[in-house]
Amino acid sequence: MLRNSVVLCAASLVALALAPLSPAAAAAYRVETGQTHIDFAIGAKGYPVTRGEFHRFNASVAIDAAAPAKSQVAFDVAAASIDTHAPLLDDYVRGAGFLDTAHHPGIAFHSTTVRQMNDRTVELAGNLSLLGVTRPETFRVTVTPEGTAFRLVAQGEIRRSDFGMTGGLPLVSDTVTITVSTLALAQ
Amino acid sequence: MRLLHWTMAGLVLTLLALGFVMTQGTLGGAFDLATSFTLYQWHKWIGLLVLALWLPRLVARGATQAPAALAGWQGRAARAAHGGLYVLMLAMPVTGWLATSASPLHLPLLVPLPVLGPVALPDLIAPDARAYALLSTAHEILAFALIGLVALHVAGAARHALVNRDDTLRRMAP
Ligand code: HEM
Repeated sequence: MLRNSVVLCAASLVALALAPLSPAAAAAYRVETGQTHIDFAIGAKGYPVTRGEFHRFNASVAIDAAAPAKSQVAFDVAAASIDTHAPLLDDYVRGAGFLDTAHHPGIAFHSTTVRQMNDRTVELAGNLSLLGVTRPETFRVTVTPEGTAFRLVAQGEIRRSDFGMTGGLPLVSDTVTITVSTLALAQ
Repeated sequence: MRLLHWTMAGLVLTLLALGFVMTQGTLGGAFDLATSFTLYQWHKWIGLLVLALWLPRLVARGATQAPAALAGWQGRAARAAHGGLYVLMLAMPVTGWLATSASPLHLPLLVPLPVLGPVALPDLIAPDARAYALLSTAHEILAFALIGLVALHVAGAARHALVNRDDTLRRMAP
């Protein structure tokens, strides 16, 4: 009993001593699914912009408000959950020329670095995996505190041909604007 | 025969309307991409249905005793118009399918068959911008020819009923 307490004490002391050397990790936040939208917009010759969203995803967000660079973001999105409000078009986009969901069910983004631009904006760099191709991409994220929570709106542009998605080119444009908005709740 | 006749008449008129409406989207931005895509899809499916019905239609025609042809130019005109309608009911879907194959967009032509599910139809020819321009123009010109023949056909039927007062039109009454 006494021995156990001594060990515990010693462990606490060691932990305390090490604390300044290994700074606390960014705190995990809970992503409010109902307030998260993974939207995209894409142009096509002669047509107004086509918009859609992905409904199914898993996300984790860790934020360090004092040291934003330590924050981390990961999104894993079910490609087949695409919704352009036109079921026939969705079926097509799930097909081989575009998302090819039968072979590539997931789209993933895992952040690598976060750079603070100003007190409301960070630049989020990470690896985007789509169609089996993983490439570095960056998103500009506006961060708005809401009490203890943060509203995050990330926007970036990708060239889908970089990932081998060539369906509909050149009528349907190569550039896709991706906007992800979410509410991250402190736990 | 009557059922086939009126089914195909309905399908063809729908196709003509759909064809002209859907192609407006790319000009004036009348539709968004999703709507336009959906209209094209329906156009292709209904057009392929006409193609599938074409042979049964021809067989039914062969098995039916057609009314005696009028003498003189009217009979010749009617025979020519009927022949033209049969040719166009084949040529329209075929040029449509060819144009779709040649489209530089190179989208698969999926047909949602009952029971079997979606089946991808093969491309008849390789994608090629010039072939596409040519084939879609042919498809359009044939569409105007079809409208002309349909108008002639309707006028002929009306004349049978109103001027000649014979029972040619009544034979086809649904
Ligand atoms: C009896 C059958 C058909 C009729 C009456 C018909 C009629 C039409 C008409 C009136 C147009 C508009 C022409 C224009 O203004 O450019 C059109 C366009 C079109 N049709 Fe059909 N069609 C038929 C079958 C098909 C089939 C089977 C397909 C494909 C599998 C098809 C594919 C197309 C395409 C791709 C266009 C657009 C061409 C463009 O971009 O100008 N059609 N059709």
